[in-house]
Amino acid sequence: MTSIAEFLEQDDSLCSFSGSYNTIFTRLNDPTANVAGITEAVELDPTIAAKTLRMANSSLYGFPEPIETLHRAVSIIGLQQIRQIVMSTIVIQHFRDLPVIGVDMESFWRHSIAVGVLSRSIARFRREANIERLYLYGIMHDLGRLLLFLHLGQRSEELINIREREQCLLFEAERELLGFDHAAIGSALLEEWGMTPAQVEATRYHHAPEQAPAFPVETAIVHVADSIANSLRLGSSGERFVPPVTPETFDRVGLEMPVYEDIIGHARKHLEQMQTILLD
Amino acid sequence: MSPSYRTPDEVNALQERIHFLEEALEANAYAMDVLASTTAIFGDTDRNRSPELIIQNTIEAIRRLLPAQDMAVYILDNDCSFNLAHQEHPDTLEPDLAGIVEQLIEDGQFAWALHQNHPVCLPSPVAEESIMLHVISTRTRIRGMFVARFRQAQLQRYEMILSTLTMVLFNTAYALESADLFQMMDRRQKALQRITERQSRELLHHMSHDSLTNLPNRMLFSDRLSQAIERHAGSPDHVALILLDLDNFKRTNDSLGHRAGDELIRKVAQDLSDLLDQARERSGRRLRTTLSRLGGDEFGILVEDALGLEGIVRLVTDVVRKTATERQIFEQPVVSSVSCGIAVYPYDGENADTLLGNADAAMYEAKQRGRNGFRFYTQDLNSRTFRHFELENELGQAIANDQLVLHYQPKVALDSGRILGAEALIRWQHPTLGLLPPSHFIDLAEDMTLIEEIGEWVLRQVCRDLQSLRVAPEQLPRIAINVSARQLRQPDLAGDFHRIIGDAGIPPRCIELELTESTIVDDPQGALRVFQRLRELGMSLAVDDFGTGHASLMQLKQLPADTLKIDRSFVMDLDQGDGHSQIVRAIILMARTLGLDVIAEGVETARQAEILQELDCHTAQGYLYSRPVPFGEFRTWLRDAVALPTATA
Repeated sequence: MTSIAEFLEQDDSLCSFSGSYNTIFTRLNDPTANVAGITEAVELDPTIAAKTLRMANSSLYGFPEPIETLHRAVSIIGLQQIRQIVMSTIVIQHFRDLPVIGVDMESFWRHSIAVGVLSRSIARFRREANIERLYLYGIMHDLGRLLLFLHLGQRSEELINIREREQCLLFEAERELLGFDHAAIGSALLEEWGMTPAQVEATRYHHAPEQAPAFPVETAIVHVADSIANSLRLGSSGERFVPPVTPETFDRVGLEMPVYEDIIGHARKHLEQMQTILLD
Repeated sequence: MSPSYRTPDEVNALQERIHFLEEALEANAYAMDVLASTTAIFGDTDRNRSPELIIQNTIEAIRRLLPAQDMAVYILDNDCSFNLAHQEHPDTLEPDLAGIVEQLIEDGQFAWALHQNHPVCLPSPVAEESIMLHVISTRTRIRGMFVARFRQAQLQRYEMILSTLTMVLFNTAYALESADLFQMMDRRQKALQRITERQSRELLHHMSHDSLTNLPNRMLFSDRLSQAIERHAGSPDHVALILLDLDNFKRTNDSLGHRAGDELIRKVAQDLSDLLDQARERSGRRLRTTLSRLGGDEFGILVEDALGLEGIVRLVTDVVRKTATERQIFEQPVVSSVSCGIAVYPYDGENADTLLGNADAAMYEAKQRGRNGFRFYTQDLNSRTFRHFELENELGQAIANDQLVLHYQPKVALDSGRILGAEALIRWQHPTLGLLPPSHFIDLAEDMTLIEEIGEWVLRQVCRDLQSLRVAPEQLPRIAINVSARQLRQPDLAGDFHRIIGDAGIPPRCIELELTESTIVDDPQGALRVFQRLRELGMSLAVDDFGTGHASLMQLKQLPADTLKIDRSFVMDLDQGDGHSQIVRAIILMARTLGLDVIAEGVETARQAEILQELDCHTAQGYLYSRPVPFGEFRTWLRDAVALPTATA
């Protein structure tokens, strides 16, 4: 009945940022930006600036001394890393106040933040260089679902009914109703925004990681983090069941099973603080 | 679509951006080249396995990536502390990088940076400067920290190539780890090699030695035997193989148990080993022996070099005698004798197997003959060497067992038949062979060094016999005793003799010592020395067997002798015609000239006695008058002043 393109075109305000968010976003994506430039951009929005500074001072980063200025926060966390942190903050700020029927926005973001922190934690245990990248992928992986519910409006009930009737996962119900799921919508949106191909792919295939053609590891990480967040009931984006993880996907991530306990422990430790900072 | 127009500012901004991106592209391409060359960092060959070299290679790569003002590498040591392993420009900038790092460590920022797997930029105490930290770690282990200081303005340009830095340092961490692992592997391998070598030595020992006694086993013994044969092939030395078996060992085993049997084997092995050690010592280490436990209660002894059959017999007799003893086995007395079989190379076989087989056959025979003894494989050797040996053994006991006796052959005045004295002659009253003359055992006694003991016994016995006459000293007859060449070499023969005579209270003139002419010729100096000394002590001296020993006139003249004894061979021929008397005549003439007495021995016919008298010889001994007789008879004749029949009578 509707195509993905139609979803994206229906409400321009949803798909693009306004005002300072847009400026910050553009500046963040400018490869020529230096520490001073990024700092200036973030300072354009006092809320984003404050949240960024609070995050830099959070236990997640564990810097031994208080970071007083945004400039210092940017230089300590790193230019690459700060970009993803600020972007995810903006996305949350942008979407959290939208009136979406059928979605508990608080719960949705708690889930998204959990997947973000878990993805980051997995990347950390993999000793990847830029782990904030995975944090951003995790935060934004279910954006498609927000768009989907927003546009379905009252028809969201149909989706829930299918899920209840079929006792299936929500994304399977989406496919039954629309022919595509929130992952397809979300990835299309991210592509529109000019996000990296890795993020687009990780979002597109986060329910089918084995199909990811170019970035299977990133995709697998988000997939595993999503399942963990669901099984631990750390917020919800509408799934009632835990999407199963295949052994091949665990292999792709490459960590031993016992390490996941540490990963979850590490994520839990910081999760509440992150939610407080981001959802205040 | 209408063309869009840009303001000059926008154009400038775009130009700047293009410029920046071109620069970045170039920098990135260059960074990739550097990255591609970092395979040199790997610590995977002997050449690049030292941590110093790995760090040096790392610094060289990074130097091409980042024009830092200073760089340093800290390495985590085994005690978990960070040590400065390299600094590009120590003590050139104020404050020194090492000092700044000290402060970062104190603040905890250093520790924090260890857990960030990317470059972190921290404020420097110097304005417009940044400190970059980057952990050097593998996926599982932190190995160190890279530190650099930059001007802040430059930092942005490096942003593009910082991922490359991460890669380079990741390689460095793995190179260090690899070097560590190789070193550990090397150590392990060396340790393993040492263990293997020790174990192969032990294994070899196990394979070639008996575990109960730790003696060489049959395998090693056969090998030594073969080697000995090879060594002695074509040489006159003997190689003897003695197989030795405990008699009735099975009985010990059955009655006292296997542990007792083992203990007995162990003790016998020890005794045999000690015994062979002693034999080796005695031989001045010329003797080579190998003792082996061949299995069960069977031992083997390999004897090499410098022994001769006599020595082998002596050794094996020792073995038989000394191992046949009572031993305490777990507080039980166990008597165990042994039987030996002997095979001798080259007589009894040319190779180890044949010798072993023949020694075994000989041992079997020894067992058949009643155990506790030995047999040679070659029967001939058995009869000869065994009899000889037995005699030797018995001779050793003869004095103690009172089996030696003296017989006296009177010395007679030719004209009157009056007994002037006698020659004391030794006899061995052998328990089974009967009365043996000295020719049967004196050589043997000399070999065995029993001769001194026997010589002393003879003198003492003569003294005892003289004492038993119970007459006044001046009436005692003169008794001659024989002195052998070997006795002559005794350090103080004269002194010993003088003491014995003195103790017995016999006047020295009653003792005459007879030394053969050939002995004097062989050792004129010794003879002269002893004769002079004995003469001083008052004993008289005779040259025995005169005429057969080629003594020079000079020697005779020098020698302080009293009497010449004309050898029996000349006396025997006296009645064979005129020509034969010429030598005797010459001897007598010479003796007279030198002022010596003359006595003829071996006189058997009256005619001989007659001729001697004609030739001016007045004393004789021989069967014509009397064979050597036991002292009792001689004493009777003396007491009764018997005149023995003379030629004229």
